[in-house]
Amino acid sequence: MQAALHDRKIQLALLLLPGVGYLVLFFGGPLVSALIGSLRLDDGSFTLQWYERIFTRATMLRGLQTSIYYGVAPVFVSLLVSIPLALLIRQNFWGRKLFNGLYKLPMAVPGIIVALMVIIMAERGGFIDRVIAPFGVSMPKLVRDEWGIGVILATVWKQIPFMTLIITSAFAGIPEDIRHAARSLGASRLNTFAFVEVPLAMPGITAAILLTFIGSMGSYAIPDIVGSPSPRPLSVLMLFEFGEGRFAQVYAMGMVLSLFAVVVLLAYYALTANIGVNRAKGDE
Amino acid sequence: MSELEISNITKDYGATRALHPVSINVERGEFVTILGPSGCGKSTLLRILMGIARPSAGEIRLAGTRIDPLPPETRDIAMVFQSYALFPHMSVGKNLSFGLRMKNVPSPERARRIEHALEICNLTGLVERMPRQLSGGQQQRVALARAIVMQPRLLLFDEPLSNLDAKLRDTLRQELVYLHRRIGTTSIYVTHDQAEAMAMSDRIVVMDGGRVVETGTPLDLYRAPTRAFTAGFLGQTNLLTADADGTRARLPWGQLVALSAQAKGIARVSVRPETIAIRQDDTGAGTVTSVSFMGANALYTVGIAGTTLKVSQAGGESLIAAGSRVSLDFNGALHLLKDRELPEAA
Amino acid sequence: MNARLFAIAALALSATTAPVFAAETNLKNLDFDLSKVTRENFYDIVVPAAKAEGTVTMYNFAGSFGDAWKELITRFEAKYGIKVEYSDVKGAQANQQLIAVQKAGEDAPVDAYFAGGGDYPLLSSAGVVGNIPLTSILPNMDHYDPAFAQSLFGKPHGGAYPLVHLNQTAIGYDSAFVKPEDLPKTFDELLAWAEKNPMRLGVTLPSKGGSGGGFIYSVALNYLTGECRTKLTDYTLTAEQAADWAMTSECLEPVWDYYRKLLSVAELTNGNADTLNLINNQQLYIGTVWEDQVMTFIRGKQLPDTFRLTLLENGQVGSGDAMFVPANAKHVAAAMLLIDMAIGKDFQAWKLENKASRSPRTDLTSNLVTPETAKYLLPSSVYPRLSAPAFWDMAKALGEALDEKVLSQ
Repeated sequence: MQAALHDRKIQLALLLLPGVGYLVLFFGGPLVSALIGSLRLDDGSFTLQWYERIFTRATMLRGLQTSIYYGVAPVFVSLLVSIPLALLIRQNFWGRKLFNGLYKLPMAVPGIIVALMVIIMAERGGFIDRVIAPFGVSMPKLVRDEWGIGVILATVWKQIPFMTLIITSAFAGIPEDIRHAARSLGASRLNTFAFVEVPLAMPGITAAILLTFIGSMGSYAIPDIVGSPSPRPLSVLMLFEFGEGRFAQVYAMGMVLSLFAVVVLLAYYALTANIGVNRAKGDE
Repeated sequence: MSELEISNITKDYGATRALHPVSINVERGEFVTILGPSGCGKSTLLRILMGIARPSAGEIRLAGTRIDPLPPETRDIAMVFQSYALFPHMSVGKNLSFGLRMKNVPSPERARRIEHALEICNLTGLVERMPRQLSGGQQQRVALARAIVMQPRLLLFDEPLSNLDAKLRDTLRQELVYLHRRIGTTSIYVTHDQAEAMAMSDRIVVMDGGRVVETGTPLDLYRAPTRAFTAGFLGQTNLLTADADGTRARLPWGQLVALSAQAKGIARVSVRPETIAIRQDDTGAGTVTSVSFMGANALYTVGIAGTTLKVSQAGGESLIAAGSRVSLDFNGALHLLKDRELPEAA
Repeated sequence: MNARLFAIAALALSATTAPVFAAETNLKNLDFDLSKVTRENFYDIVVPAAKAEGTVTMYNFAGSFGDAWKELITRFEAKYGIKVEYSDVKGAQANQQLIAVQKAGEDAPVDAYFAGGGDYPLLSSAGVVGNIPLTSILPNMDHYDPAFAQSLFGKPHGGAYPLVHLNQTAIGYDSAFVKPEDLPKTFDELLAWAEKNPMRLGVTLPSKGGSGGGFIYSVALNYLTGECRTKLTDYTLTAEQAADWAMTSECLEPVWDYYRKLLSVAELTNGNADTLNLINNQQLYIGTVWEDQVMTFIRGKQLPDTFRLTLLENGQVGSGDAMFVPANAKHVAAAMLLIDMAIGKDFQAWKLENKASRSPRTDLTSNLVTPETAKYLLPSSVYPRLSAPAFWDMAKALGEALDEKVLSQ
C-alpha cells in the first residue's frame, strides 16, 4: 500500500513534469534570475537602488510614461482601422481574395525594417517629401516629433493585420442567426453592430488589444529610430543601459515593464469576467 | 385583400433557381405552415419574408403595404429561429426588451409587455437568467417571448421545435397552438415535420423543388390530396394506377372500385392504409408479407399483383398471420390524383 | 568511462592554473617566449609562431570600418598565409562577452579586437586586455605618437591598448546653405547661428551617438574654468564618480544653460547617421558629426559634395579606437602580427585616403592625401590644432545628466 502510494506520487510528478518543468525552466527561471539580478549590487549585496533610479529619475519616469503611451496610443488607432477592416473583409467585393492576402503582409515585416522605411520614406526631405514637393506641399514632421506620431503610425501599420485577423475571426464566430434576429427585432445595421456584434466580439477584441498593447509597449526598434530622442520609452532606455553594461538596471527595468504587463493582463481577466457578470444583472 | 400576399416571388442563385414563381396568400390571424423536405425552398422563402434575402422577382405585401424592398428592421415581422438565436450576452429580460428599445417603446409599456410575454410563455421568474443558464425548452420559450413581445403583424417560425427532444416537442407544440389562439397573430410556420404541420396549422402549403405543390387545410390535404407528393408527404399512403372509365376503375389485379372523380384511361389514385379493409380469404388475390402489431392498430403489408400495399386495421379481434391469403375491400371511392406520373418511390 | 572523465577534468583544471608567465603577463595561451621579443627580433620570433597558429580571429566594433579591415585582411593573408576569421560585433555586447569569458577562465573567442578607445577603462578593469607592450615591440610602431604610447585618455595601458585609428568629432555643414562668412567659429557663434536659423542645426543626442557625446564634452571644456575644469578633465575619476559629479555639480550650470538655449532652436537627433541623413535631406544645414563617418557617407553618395567640416574654437573632442589582444586569446602571435600590419604606414595611408581615418603615426600628414579627398577632411587650419582629448566616461556622464537636467524637465 505504502509502496503503491509512493509510486503514485512519483507518477504524478512525472506526469506534471513536462508542463510544470517547462514553465519553471523557460519562464519562472529567467524571471526569478532577473528579479534576483535586479536586487543585487556588483558585490552581490542586496540593493533597491536600481528600482529607486527608475522611480526617482525624470528620464526613467518619463520613459515609463512613454512606454505606456507608445503601448496605448497605437492600439486605439489600430482599433479604429481594424474593426471597419474586419467588417469590410466579411463583405464580398471585387478583388477581395487579393486584398485578403495583401493586408496581412506588414505582419511579416520586422519592426526595424518598418522603422527604416519610415526614415527613408516619411522623413522630412525624404522620398515622399521629394515626390510631393513639386505640388507645393511638404510632409508634416513624423520622425522625432514630440507626440510620437511617426512611432504610432509605424506601429499601427505593423499591428493592424494581426489585430484585424483576430477581430475578423471574433466577428466570424457570431452566428448569423443572431445578427438576423437583431435585425428582425427592429435593430438597424448600425445598432446590430453596436449592441449585438461588438459585445459578442468583445473577448476577441480585448484579446487583440491586450496582445498588441503588450507587443508595442515592449517594441524597441521603431521608437528608437523613429521616435523623439527625448523622452525615450523604457525599452529603448533598457537597451542603452545594456550597452553600458548595467545589467542590474536592465533587469530592474524589465521587471517593472513585466509587472506592468501582468497588471494589464489581470485587469483584462477581471474585465472579461465582468462582461458576463454585469450582463446577468438585467434590469428588466 | 389578404393580410399577407406573396406574389410570384422567385429567387435565383446564379444559374440555379431556388424558388420558381411562388404565390401564397395568408389571411389575418391565420396559422399557415409551409411544409416540405429540406431543399424545397421553404427556408429561402422565409428569409425573403424576413428581409435578409432579396427576391429576384415578384412582390410581397403585408397589410396592403409592399414590404419586399424594405430592410428587416422596418417590416413589423418577428421571427423565432431554429437555433433560438438568443443574445448570449443579455439576460432573458434584456433579450425581451432589446426589440422594444430599438423601436423606442416607452419604458412603462415595455415593462408591461415583457411581463405579459413572460407570463404567457411560462417564463416568470427567469427574467434575470442568462441564456446559457436555461434548458433548450426554456430558451425556445424565450425566443418565442422575444418575438411576441414585439406584437408584430406577422410571426415567422423557422422549424423552432426541431432541436428539442420528442416529448418536449409535443408539449411546446401544444403550447404554441394555445398561444396562437390567445394572441391571434398571423403566423407562418416552416417545418419538414408533417405531424407538426397537421397538428398546428389552419392551412398547410406543401412545397417541393422550389414550387408550391398544393395548399389546403390539414384535413383536406390528408383526405383529398391532389398530388402524389402531398399524399406521400402527409402520412402513409398507397399510390396505385387504375384503368378508369367514368367514376369506375379497375385495379391491376382486376378488382373494380369507385373513383372520387371522373377519369378516362390510366388514373392515379391515393389510398390511405386505414381506408382498406383486410380479411382472410383463401381465394383472395393478396398475400400478407408482414404484420406489425402497434397496439391500437395492426399494420400489414400485402403483396398483390406485383405491388405492395400498406393496410392498417384497427380494433381487430385477432391478427392475420403472415403468409395468409387475403382479399381487400375499399371503403368508398378511391381518391383520384392529378399527377401524370407517379413518383417511383411511392 | 569515469577515469576518462576524470582525466579530462584534471586536464582542464591544470590548463586553467597553468600560465607560466602569470607573474609578468596575464596571457593564458602563450606559445612563444614573449619576454624575449623586441622590435628588432619581432619578425624572427613572431612570424613562425603566428604561422604555427595558422589562423587569427578578429572582431570589429565599428560598422563603417568593414571595408577597411577587408583591405587589411587581404594584404595580411597574402603576405603571411595566415587565415583571418573576421566578425562584425556590437561593441557593448562583445565587451560583455569577453568579460564573462575572462571571469570563467575560458579561451577568448577573439584574438585581435578593434574596440572603442573609450572602452579601455571597462575592459582593463575586468582584466580582459592582454599585457603586451605592443607600442614598444611592434616594428611598425616606431613612429607612434608618444601621446598615446603608454596611456590613453589619462589611463595608463603600458602599450597594451594602442589606438590604430584616430577620429575627430566636428561640425559638419552644407556649404551650399552656410556661407563662409556666416560659418560659426566658436560655441557662442554656433548658438547665435542656430537662433538665426531655427531647426537648421542638428545636435546628436549624446547617449545615441559619439558625435553628440563629443560635442557635449567639448561644450563643457569651452565653458568650464578653474576647479570645475580640473574636475572635468580628471581622468582618475571612475565612471560612477563622473556620473555622480555630472548629476550633482553646480559647475555644469553653464553647460545646461547652453543646451537649454540650443535645443529650443536646434533639432535633437537619434544618432550620428540620423544627423547626416537630415543634412543630406536638406532639412539641416549644420550638424555634429564624426570626420571619418562623413567620408563614408560622401563616398556612398549619402551626403552632398558641398559638405564641409570645421572645428569650433577652444577645441572639439578627438578620439580613437584601439586594436588589442585579449588576455585569453588563443592566437597571440598572429594577433600581434595583424596589429603590426594595421599600424603600418601603407595601410594607415590607405585608411586616411579612403576612410578619413586619422593615424597615430607621427609620419603621416594630410598632405599625403589626394586633393579630391582633402576637401572633405578637416582643414589643416583647425586640425590637429583644435583637437582636444576625449574623456568618454565623463562625456557619457554628461550625456546622461543632460537627459535628466535638461531634456526631461
